[in-house]
Amino acid sequence: MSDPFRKLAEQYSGRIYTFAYYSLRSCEEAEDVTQEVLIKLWENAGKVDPGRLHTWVMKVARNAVIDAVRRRQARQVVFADAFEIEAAETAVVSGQSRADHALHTAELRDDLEKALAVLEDPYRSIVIMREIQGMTYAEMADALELPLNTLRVYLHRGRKMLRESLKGKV
Amino acid sequence: MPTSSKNCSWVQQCIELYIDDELGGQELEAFERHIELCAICREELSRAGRIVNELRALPPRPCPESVMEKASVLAGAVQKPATTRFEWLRKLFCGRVLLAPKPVLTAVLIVVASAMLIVMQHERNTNRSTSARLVTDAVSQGELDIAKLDIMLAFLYVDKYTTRAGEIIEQEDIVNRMMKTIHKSVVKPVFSFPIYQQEEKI
Repeated sequence: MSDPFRKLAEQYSGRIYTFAYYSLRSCEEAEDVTQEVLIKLWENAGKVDPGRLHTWVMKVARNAVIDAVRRRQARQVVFADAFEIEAAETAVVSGQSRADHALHTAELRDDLEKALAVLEDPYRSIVIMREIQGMTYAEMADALELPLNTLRVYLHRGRKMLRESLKGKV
Repeated sequence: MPTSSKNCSWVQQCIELYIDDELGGQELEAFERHIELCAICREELSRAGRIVNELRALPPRPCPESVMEKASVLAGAVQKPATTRFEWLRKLFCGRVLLAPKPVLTAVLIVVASAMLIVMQHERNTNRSTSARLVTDAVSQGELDIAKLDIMLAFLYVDKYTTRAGEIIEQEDIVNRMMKTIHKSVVKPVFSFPIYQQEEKI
């Protein structure tokens, strides 16, 4: 393995994987996205302004996630079946474990991750970048090519959507 | 100014702003006053706050090692080309291309380069006059082209020309005649270059 690649990969893989995982809520798809972005990063690292590399990576990651969502929609029927089974299993478990606070928190986190993953883009990307990855508005504006005020409005709207979809659970 | 009884929708729209600390002045006061009095909005604010807290508490996910390994293999297939034109030479001497020890490799290269120089010198001596003529030809041809262009431009608007002897010549002939004159006066001295003469003797 070449050292410069390793250095780049170690620097950015965590951010890319975190973003992809919370966007897709699938380890396998997040791995594919991360791999794809790392290769693009390696090919283009010399062409991108080093000061903007982080936001460039997030832009490429977001596009890769959007592509992954599209691919997923192409096999929607299969995925919907799997999701329904998983949801039913969760419902059974949740009925048995309401009393356990730790488990309840884990369950809430699980529900939150699911709600986040079905949120539409750009709301999903904005919520993940801001609330989970702690990016600044300026970085997000660069990565998503959106004005700051629009970002603020979308972030609030995205969180409100999450609140709506988690009604009865939170 | 919103009042606590009538503005649940206004307050609920401001919840996200309040969480991000983006409310100020009278709006903030009105919001907080309403929240104190309205249990529904208080509950909604509590939910919103909890969701944001949970979101912010979601941990970063470490990328599996296998992903980096796979990516590195694939990236190896598209590795960046050599950064300089002489990268191959550097690699050669670093022993990446040839595995021979450096002093031996250097000696071999010196012998090969010397042999090539001797052969090239011999070739040069054999074809010296030919090469020299080619060079003078190239120079004179370039000069001739420029001269021809100049003449053509000078006589661009002249259809016919009467010589001192009273002969009428067409525009095309003017250029040809001028070129012949140039050949006589310019090209000949160039072709009388010593190396060319040497060839004539042969």
